[in-house]
Amino acid sequence: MNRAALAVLGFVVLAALWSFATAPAAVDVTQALQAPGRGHWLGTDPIGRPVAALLAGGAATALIVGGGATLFAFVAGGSLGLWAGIRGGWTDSLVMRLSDVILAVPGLLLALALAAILPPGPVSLAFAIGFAGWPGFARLARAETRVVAGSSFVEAARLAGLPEARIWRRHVWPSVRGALLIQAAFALAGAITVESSLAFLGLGDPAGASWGALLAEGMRYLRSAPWLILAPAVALSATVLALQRLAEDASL
Amino acid sequence: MTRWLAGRLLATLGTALAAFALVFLLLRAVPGDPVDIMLGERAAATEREALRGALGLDRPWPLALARDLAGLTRGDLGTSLWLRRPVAELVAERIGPTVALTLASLGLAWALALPLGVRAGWRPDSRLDRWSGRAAGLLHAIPSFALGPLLLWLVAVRLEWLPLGGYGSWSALVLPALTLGTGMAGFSLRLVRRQTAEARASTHVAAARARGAPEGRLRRLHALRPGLGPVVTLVGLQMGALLSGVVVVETVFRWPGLGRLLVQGVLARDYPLVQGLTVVFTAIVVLANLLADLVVAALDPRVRKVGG
Repeated sequence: MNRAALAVLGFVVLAALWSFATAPAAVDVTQALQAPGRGHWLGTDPIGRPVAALLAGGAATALIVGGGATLFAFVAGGSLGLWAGIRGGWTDSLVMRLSDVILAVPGLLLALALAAILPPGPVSLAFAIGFAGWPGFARLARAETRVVAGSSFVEAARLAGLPEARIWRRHVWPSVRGALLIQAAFALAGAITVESSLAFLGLGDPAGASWGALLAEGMRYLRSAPWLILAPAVALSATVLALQRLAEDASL
Repeated sequence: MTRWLAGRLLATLGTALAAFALVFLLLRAVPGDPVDIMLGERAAATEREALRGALGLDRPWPLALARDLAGLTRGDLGTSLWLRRPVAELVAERIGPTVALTLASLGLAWALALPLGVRAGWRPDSRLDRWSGRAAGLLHAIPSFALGPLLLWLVAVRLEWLPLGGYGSWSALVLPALTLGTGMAGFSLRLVRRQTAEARASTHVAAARARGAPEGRLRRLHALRPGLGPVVTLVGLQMGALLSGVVVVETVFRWPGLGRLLVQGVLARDYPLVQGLTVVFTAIVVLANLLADLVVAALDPRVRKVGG
């Protein structure tokens, strides 16, 4: 396992937990736009909140919204894909054509359109992001299911007279699961990126902190307060890179 | 070949129409009244009725969908509520900058990925291979809206080499293209490297080497060319991700293209504009995939035979 990647993710989780345990960052306009240094080790934002606390809040949002989106895509896409792989025929065609259409629409565009029309909040965001993500899981689950369903150990189980439900649960699903979990790590990296993109573009959760919202704020103070973009840019890139590394290591 | 192409073009149109129908249905499936969301709850009754008519909310959805789809086949993408102009007109105005940005970033990505990927793959585990592999992973992972502000700060604010944003000069194109092209560069570099490493170990390269072909020719002709097919296909499949990047990069750099128009449309809750742009973006993705297939056929005669 890649230790650096695990350390980064562990740090992100701890930061998120810390932000839950403490009160939201207090506004203090006398401390506005302080450079990193004594007292505020990552500096402060235009209304005097410490960037470190905002970053931790952003970690919590990234994990909740990104995790929720990935979970939705995993469950919806995984079960649709399994179902298509098992049933075949027109069920299979229907699920695959639908996923073709969704895959043809750029993912961020679909999430933007949904986020704009849903009531603001973390649940809506998770759904908007996950909706664009389920076809990836569905295609993978379907392909894996078809390979496994045609293999000799499944045939042997069937010849042994095992009930169909048990064959799927005990023989097919465990073989399909691994590939889906690796896909979930990649999807989580993507979902965290989209969550921050939406916040950056002005469609995040107005009540919550987000690395993307912090970056958007920092864009307006590029000259006077570059620390506002440096901290979230590093946090986001490191998290995405760590997740991709872990997924790649696991897929070898 | 002609029949195959006609079939693919028809499928392209079908996918774009289906994407439109998808967004159309999502808008109606969502709880709450879209008119409230677009105009706010205090809007005047006449204005609400006008919007209902424009969105087709005053009639059963199958009829409204049929009306809009029929319009699409005539090239009518709807009318923007916010700018009060036909979406097709707006697209015609804004597509130039987006195409310029996309092509420039693809060009940059390939100028980096091709030579580096081939050299790295030709000498696996060399120092160049290890370092370019790490760099590619990093480039692929940095989201464009993190890289864009960083580049702006470093190159435009600190070093003052390039303008902060805007449109109309070559220097204004550099940073957006770099930001957008970075992810694609990392992705392509890894693919080209893998393909080259595989081809290098293959029998047809060994045979050509035994015939006395020089190394440079081996690398270019025998290893690179057959390996490029899958790379082109996968880059075509990455088009959706690239266009997602366009949306963000155009906003960061205030680039007057389709992506920025889309974000403005979304923020203004201008649903006809968003629907129309969805069709355009989807058509671009599907056409890019078609183009990638044609390039693959040109590169590899075996595909042409099968393709008919």
